[in-house]
Amino acid sequence: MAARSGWASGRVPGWALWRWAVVAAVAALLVGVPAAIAARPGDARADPAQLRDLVAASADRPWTGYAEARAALGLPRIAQLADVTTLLSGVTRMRGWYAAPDRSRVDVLSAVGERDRYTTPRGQAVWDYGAELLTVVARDPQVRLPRPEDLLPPELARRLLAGTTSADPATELPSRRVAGVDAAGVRVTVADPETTVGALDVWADPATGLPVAVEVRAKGVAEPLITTAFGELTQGPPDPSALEPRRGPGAGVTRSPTSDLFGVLGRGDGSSLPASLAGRERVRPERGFPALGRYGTTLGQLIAVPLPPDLAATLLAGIDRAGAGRTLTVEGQGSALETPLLTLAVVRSDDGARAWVLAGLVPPAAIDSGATDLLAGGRT
Amino acid sequence: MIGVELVKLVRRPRTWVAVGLLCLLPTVVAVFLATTRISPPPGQGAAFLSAVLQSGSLYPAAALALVLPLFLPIAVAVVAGDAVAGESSQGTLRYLLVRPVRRTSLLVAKLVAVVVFVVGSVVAVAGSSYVVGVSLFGAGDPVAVVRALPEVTGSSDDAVAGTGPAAPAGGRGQVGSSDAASGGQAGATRPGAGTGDGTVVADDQAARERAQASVSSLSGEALSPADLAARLLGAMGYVTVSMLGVAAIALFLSTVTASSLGATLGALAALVTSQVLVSLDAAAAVTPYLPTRYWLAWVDFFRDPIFLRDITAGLWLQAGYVVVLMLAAWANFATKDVTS
Repeated sequence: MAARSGWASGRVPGWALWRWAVVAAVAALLVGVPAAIAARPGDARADPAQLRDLVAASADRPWTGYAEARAALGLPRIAQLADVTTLLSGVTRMRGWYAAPDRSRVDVLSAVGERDRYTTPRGQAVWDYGAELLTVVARDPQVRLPRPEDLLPPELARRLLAGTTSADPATELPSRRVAGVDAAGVRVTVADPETTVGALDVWADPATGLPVAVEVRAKGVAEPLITTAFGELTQGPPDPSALEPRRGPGAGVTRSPTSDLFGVLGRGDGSSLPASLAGRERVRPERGFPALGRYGTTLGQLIAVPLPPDLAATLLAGIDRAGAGRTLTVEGQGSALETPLLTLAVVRSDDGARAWVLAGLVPPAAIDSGATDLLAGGRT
Repeated sequence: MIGVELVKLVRRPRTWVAVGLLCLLPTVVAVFLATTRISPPPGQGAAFLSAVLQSGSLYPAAALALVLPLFLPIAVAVVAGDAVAGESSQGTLRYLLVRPVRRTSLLVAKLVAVVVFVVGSVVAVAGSSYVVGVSLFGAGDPVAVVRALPEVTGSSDDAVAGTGPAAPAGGRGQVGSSDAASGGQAGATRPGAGTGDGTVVADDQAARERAQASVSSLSGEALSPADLAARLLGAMGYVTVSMLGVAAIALFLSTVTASSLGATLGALAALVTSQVLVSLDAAAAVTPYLPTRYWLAWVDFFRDPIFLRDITAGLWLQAGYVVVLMLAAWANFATKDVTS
């Protein structure tokens, strides 16, 4: 009788609860099973020092896959450097086909299109769906602005590990399952006080050394600032037809000597670059790019490039407008965009005739000292 | 039972008003694009909108992108939210259940009717926008695409294939006539479409070559008519499935409340919440479970090679929502005290 009155007043009687129990069980299964599969720990083990060497030598390992990179540098948007600032302050989705260092393709996906970069033995080609344009690029310098494909786990791991020294200790990290790979982990702690990079966490296939996930940590910051990992990965040679640059019907083709701002600036006059900056010696410039100054070979290296006066003025105004720049206390004029990892500064002499962009994974003191050296060096 | 619900769906003027409004938005956009020839800057605006000026046969894709974020989910939420609550508020639900109708089968019939509405809406939007797109923007050869449909679907339906020979002038003259006033000048600037006027398409091969010369995938691969048709069908199917999650939410809420407006708004509130969280980096932990997370993945049908990762994830996600919410609707409705 009590049950009947409960039913009539709209409450669910006890015997009907089993239906809700079914609902709860199915929902829990549907949410829990994929989450459990994703979180299941790996059991791969590898000697950290050997894994590090294996990763460094993995450039000839072919693969096909999809990766997502998340960078949290929090750079404000600067119009002239929009590609870089958005890359380092957001999520980048990429598909890649990698056969060899000189044969690969990386598609950067967006909700409304994509931008594909093909690397061939003859040079590079960039297909931009939005602009309906295929740009054939002759050559980009080694010192260039960051690009989306630099954030692919293999590229990022090899590039940054190359800047560490054998004195930097490598320790083992718990293994992880990434895109179906039971990956062993290694943490390289960077001892050099002249760089902001605190540690590199790399997970790689212990059999091939192909990095599948990378986390970059800055000194004094708990959370990694750059994380990148494969979401899908097949190891082995990619489909060769995917590596052929293609141009949409009716789309234009253009040829360009370079696809990078530094590629243009680097062809200029490098005489205003001193032989050393902030205690770092200049590395011999690459052929064809005398105005690209690379100082030091470790992670703490500084990059200095002379800027035309008008571009320097626009960049300084852009940094000012973003409201996030630190004014450098130097003899000339200088503004620095600082993040816990990367610092980018624009320095200009008082008369406005000489200007440089100065960047590196370095602490503020190195930028200040580099800016002073630039202003002093060009004068002598 | 299912038949009864379908007849009810078809007889309701609201169904047709909703479908009509859904088709109207892409048409209005197309008219503006065709008359001004101002397309959104590359990389901005809805997907494919800047590409349709080159080829109208891509317009169904652009139309899907236009209605997907808002219009289509609203229409689906209205229809699904009204499914049970509407009967309840009109006082017809108890009479319906007095008949020897099992509540579970009533619920299934309601779901089937909603699915039919979704399929019908997507087909109507794609179909109408194809006609509008091709007549306003021209295409290499629209007929070749339609003719390729049976090839793709594997059916040998002559009703579809038959439109080919019946429209020898590449379809422009035929479908364009209804919109000649607004779109007449649009074709004049299109060299590809211009050659189609007044000439008879010699054979399938020529038609194909012409269509090939106008449509490209996002990766720059030239798309053959068969390829384009297959990708469009894939995208339409995926968008349909994407709407099932909304339908399930609204249908479940419809069994909870007697107010169809409440159920509809509840479903829309769930979608808005989902959209907000999807764009929030801090919510990354729950993002893969949000109903709108993979909505935009239909664009991946137009990449080369087709990118199936998000599409597959989206299909599983929607299936999960439908299963859980339909079970919840069943648990609620089967034991509910129906008083109105």
